[in-house]
Amino acid sequence: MLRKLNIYFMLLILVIIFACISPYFLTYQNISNILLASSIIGIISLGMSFVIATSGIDLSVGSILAFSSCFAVTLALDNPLLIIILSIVSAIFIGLINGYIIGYKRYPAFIVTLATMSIVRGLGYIVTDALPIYGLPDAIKFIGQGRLFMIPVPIIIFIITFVLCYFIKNKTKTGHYFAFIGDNEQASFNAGVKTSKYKCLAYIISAFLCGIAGLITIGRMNTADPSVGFMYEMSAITAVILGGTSLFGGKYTITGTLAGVLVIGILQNGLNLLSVTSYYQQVIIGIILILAIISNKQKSKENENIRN
Amino acid sequence: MKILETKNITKKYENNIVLDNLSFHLNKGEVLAITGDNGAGKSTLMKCITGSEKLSSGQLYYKEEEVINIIPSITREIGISMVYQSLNLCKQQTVWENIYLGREILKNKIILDKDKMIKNTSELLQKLKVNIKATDVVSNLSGGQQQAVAIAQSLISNPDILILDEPTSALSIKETNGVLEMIENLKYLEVSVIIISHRLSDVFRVADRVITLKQGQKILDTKISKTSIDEVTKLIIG
Repeated sequence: MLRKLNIYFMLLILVIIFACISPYFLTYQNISNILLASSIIGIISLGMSFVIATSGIDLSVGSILAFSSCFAVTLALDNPLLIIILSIVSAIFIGLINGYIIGYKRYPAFIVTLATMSIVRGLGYIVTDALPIYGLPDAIKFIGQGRLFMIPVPIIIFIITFVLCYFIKNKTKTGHYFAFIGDNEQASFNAGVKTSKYKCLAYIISAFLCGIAGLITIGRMNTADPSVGFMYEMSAITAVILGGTSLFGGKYTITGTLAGVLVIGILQNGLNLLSVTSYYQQVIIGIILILAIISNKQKSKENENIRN
Repeated sequence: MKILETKNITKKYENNIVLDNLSFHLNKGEVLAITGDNGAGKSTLMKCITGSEKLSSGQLYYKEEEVINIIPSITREIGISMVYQSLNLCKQQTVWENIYLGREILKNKIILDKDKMIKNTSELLQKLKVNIKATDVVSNLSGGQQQAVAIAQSLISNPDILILDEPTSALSIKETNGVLEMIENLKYLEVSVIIISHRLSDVFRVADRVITLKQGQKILDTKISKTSIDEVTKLIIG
């Protein structure tokens, strides 16, 4: 049964169940709430898909989100353009460090990003003196709270990010190489692929998207808080694996990640409507992650059997 | 016409001589087999030709011109392609994706031209008389079919010389037959082939000429029609 677990089917079932249980579930406002709540984790998850495709992992995403936004706001509280630039550039810089150590120096991604997670989180507290910074410029608030054509800006950014990531994955050499490197790095190298460069690039893209997600976060809260983004890496990894990307690399799907993000978002929203406390929600999402990993492993075993 | 020639090739690992002053040539359109026991220097010789291993001394000539900088990117560019025993395939990907890995066709310099690559792959597989689809996932193919994909991958850049390292060693009899038929077909594509193999029956079926190595030295270099499996076996084990 698990082998055939399909994320899109799961998404459909959840929608049907919650639509039957709660009359508010399928309202425009509630759908908008789900997408809004999913947009930050969604954007991070899209970047994480590229990293996991290369057989890597990025545990530092939540810390990068917090640090990049706090760093930018600390340096340029009154200048929205500078906040945007500094936030993205600082995020990319951390991604470059991750990518360089993992791609070129060949250290394990788990250890490197675990270390970065700790370092960058600490730096976030240092630059803000561990205090949230309130009162951001209107342009930054617009990124998190504004609407364009009645649609919340974070949802628009999420959709644009999805389209770009889908394009990279399905239409470009770069997206193609991420999967090849995760599948067989040596073979890719022998075929002339600059594997170190592309591995590094995956972490840069992931960090860049964390920078974007950080801007949405501070805009939404009207606060730059160094403690935000805690455990976001787990939500992102859950969404990616749930979506059908192989934890062992080589195979990934952007639409699957989107579906994985929506499944988590709908589950949280539906459980909220049913007044289930967040502690139970955490347990349920953890169980779903375990099921997804078992399903993932069964698929790998099946492929192995086909090979043999 | 000699398409490839080595003169006095020597390869040493510290004091251990693996190739000892070895000279041989490959004619255009020929299938040349290199045989010998384990450790005779067959694979090292091929790695030296492709540049994966650096020569200690000696010269390599391609179309009668000396190749000065023998490194993989140069040898591949001039037209020498090698299929390794480990096959170098990304098994979760499709046949066409593997064949075009590193040589993708792009539209507007950015977008992958999937249709063209799938079409070209199908044509190449047809030419090689391999009964698989360009869109098949490699992990779903048999060992022989995977070997065929690896050979097709090497042929996509239109090499003049194809080096096959033990192409049938891990295959069943039926699969071996398929791969040997494919090697025979390569002659019609005007590709010169060097095949390294332990299996003398395979060598005698497809090769025009055989070279036998022993402890890094050439002990036989003759046309297949002028020798026999028994003679080669005796030279190898004798």
